[in-house]
Amino acid sequence: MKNLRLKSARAAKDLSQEELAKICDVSRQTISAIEKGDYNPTIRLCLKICKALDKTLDELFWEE
Amino acid sequence: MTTHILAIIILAGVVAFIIGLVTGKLSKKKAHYDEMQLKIRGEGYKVAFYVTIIMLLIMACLGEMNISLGISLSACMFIICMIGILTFIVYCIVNDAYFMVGENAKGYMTLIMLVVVINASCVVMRLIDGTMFENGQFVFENGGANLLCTLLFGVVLVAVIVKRVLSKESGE
Repeated sequence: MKNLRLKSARAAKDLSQEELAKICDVSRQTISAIEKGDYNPTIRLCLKICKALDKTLDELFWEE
Repeated sequence: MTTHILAIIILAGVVAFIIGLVTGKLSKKKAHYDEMQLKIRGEGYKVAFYVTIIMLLIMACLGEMNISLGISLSACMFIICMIGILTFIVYCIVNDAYFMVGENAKGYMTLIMLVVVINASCVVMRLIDGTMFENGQFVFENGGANLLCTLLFGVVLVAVIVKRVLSKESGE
């Protein structure tokens, strides 16, 4: 399932995939795969992304 | 004379590689594989392992059926190893897990190109000497390893270029 919340949060922060990847110390392809729903990140990476985007885990990754 | 020049080129390549390795470590660059890349590389090892096992089984079956491949056993083993390695590398390239995060990909590709050129020149020299073929048959021991290395690194080079072109076209 696509993670549109992550994509919109990144866009709201005016960050490209490349920039977010640099902040989180991962490859751009990893960020792209998470947004597309092709890869389930570990909790460690989820926390890094949340910190970079000033969001909580619930806001970005919790599925109802 | 030509052999001496070639030996100097190879030595220079090895020295350049070692210097690159040492300076890379000294500069403490944080090139690393991220978690998704590590997962993909793990899958790549698995695929390469199965490909190698299947190739060995095929070779064993051919041996049992007394079907000759026209090359020595050691050459066969070498080729199977190469195919296994190539499977892993191409799998990683296709899934963006070959280059580390923060790695100088261009420098690495230049090194691969250098390896291809050196090995290809060895193959060409063997062909000119006429030692690669004896009585019309391919002699693996005379430059066969160089030929395989040229093919291996050549395929790596082509795979990286194709992957980059496809990624650009898809706008990734």
